[in-house]
Amino acid sequence: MFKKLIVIFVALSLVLTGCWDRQELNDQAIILGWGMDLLEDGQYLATANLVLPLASKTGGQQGGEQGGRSGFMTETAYGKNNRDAEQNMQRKLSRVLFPGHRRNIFIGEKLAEHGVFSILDEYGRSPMVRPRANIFVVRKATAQEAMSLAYQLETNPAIAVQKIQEKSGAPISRSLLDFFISANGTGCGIMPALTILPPEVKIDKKSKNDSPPQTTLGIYGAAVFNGQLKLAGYLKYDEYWVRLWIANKLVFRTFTTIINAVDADKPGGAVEDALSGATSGKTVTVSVDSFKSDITPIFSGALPRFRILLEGKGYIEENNSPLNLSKPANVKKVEARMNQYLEEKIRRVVTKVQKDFKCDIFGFGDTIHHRHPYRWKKLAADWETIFPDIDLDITVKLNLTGTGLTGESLLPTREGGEE
Amino acid sequence: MKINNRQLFWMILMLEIGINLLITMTATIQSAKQDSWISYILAGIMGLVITYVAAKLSSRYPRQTLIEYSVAILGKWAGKLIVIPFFLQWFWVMSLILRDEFLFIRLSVLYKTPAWVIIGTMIGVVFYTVYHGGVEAIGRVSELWGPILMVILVLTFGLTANNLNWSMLLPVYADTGPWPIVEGALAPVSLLGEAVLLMMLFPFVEHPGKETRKALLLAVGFSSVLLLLGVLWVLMTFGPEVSGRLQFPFFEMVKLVYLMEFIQNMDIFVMAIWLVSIFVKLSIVMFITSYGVAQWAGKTRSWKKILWGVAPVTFILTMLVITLNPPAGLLLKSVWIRYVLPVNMVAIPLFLLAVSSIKAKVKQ
Repeated sequence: MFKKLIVIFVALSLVLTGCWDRQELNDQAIILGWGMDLLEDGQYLATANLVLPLASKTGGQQGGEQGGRSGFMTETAYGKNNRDAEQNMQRKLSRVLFPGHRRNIFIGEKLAEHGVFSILDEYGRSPMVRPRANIFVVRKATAQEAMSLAYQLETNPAIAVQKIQEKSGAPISRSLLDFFISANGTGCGIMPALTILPPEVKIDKKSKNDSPPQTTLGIYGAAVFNGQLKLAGYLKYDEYWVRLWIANKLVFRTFTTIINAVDADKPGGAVEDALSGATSGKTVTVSVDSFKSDITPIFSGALPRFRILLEGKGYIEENNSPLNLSKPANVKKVEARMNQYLEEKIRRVVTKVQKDFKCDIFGFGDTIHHRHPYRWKKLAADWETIFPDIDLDITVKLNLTGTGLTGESLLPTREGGEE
Repeated sequence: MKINNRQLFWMILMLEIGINLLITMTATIQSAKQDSWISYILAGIMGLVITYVAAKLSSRYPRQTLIEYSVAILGKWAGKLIVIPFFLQWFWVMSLILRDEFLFIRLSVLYKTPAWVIIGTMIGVVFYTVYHGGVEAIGRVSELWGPILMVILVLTFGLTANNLNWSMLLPVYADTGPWPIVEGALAPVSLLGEAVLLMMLFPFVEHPGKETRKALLLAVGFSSVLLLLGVLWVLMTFGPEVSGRLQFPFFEMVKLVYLMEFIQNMDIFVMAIWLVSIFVKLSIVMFITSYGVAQWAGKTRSWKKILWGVAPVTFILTMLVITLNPPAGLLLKSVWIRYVLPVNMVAIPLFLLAVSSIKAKVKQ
């Protein structure tokens, strides 16, 4: 009798388990990107970026519009929040919306200004969604506009922005998690910002096979959110890395500065020279791929101060300056000049954040919290008002370990000819 | 039905790790914040003490289970009464584990499968193992799966190491103070203390003695170390605030694994840890419940018949818990920590040990 029972049990478990949850691939509409916009009347507009299964087989190879049809489809719906909109969207779709691969979330600028509190909850709560997601603010546009744009290198824009962000030296796939963590820290959040970029130069299409540059998606920089999780402002692409470096999250980046005749004799003319384009053409580019940041809070006066030591390792990738790089002394000159340039650049960005956004996105408060917890208890409540006035000693120490494949240039004579 | 010391080691290890890693962490982090690792060290020490007391007590009566020697120590009536809390605990723990299994599985993989299928299949497998193999089969399963789970855990820790940020552990002590840390230790110790089940398993060991006690303490110590690593990893990945808000922070941490594009979705392995270790835990508890009830009723030989009753009762209890749906944190705090930990894991074993040693002295 027992054996019979077992047989029945095994049979049942083979037949039954999982049946309720079977969801054939043919019945799923896989969401790759999800966008939210806020409309004038307070409604949300959701946009989904769905995989087009047929297109990815045939036209997908060529990507974008060139295969005759694009590799993705965009669907929209109104709703009171994420899930409500998702349900409303379902009435237009023959397949069940499947958010398991939803790795990229777009937020329209209007919504970011209004505050993201009301929509971020679902991304952390829904068990279908992996915590490894990216969130983006779309600057000066709606999420929908950004998501409708065909991106030529990838089958769809949702995948593209994620890859662009990774290639900008930012950490991979964790902007949502980082936003949650930083919002729980000193209270401000930061997330990458996208923008829609028209081609730098417009060229007409002359024949059918031409591929002139088109309007495309790009990283604008970063969007800074204040304590109420409302958009406070943006950091540009050329400023975004400052925050990443200070927060110890920068992966790689190249820096270019100007080295003029004065520098060739002795390192360090006016700092302004390095930042301006005064003698453009005399440039040096270093590629840095190993970054370190060390923030030390110092208590001496009424306000805490911070000593920020930023270190990096890299090599010289391009040299159009009068310096002969086969001499170690000249490499030192590049190092010194580059440090000067970076210090000044970083100081400007940090000051901008302090004065304009009044929001501690660098985690300075956290370092006081971590190292001087008892002092932090007194400071924490007023941190928002203290932060804009704190002093920073910024020191950059680059360590250049190479000059590329050549020391001296391959060209025989140098313009300006130093030694 | 005999098991050896090594099998006992793996049994206790599996009993301790799976559930503890997944359900106690949130409660601990909510109270002890970034100092939760201190709580886990404390919990480990307390767990070892509890295990030591229980093992000491059992080794005074190496051929008897708790049910038998409580009678030997306290006499027939008192001895039978004092073990009743244990029966309650065992039924309670089985239905709770099954409820948690159902919740977890429904949240993570099977969204629409009805509760009775998930629970019924698990009870079915456990029933089959216990009925046919008894404690011996459980021992062998543990010995087979234990090392595999260790490999999976090591891989998990290794592959998530790139997300770690040690400064999340700062400041040490300043934010919490002594009480939150001790309070945080209660949740893990209330599960680590479940090693007192050994009082039922002791007589099944081939050569019970010093080696057995060593295996037990080693198992509890080793699980504490793994749990400590687990909580450190979670804290360094999410920080104390976010991990205190996640329901299954360890599992979420594993979901973050993302290496070289192709190593991802490791969560399925952790699911394996969880499922195998709750299978072992359930089998052990179901075995000792039916065996214990049989001994209590004085019909040790017919424990398999009792099993026919224990399994359906567990099923009904679990369905009841699922329907009533009491919050998991409340159950852990108001029942497990308030009653089971002080009474079943501390008071009763200590009391029995004290009475038994006084008796022995009086005899001398």
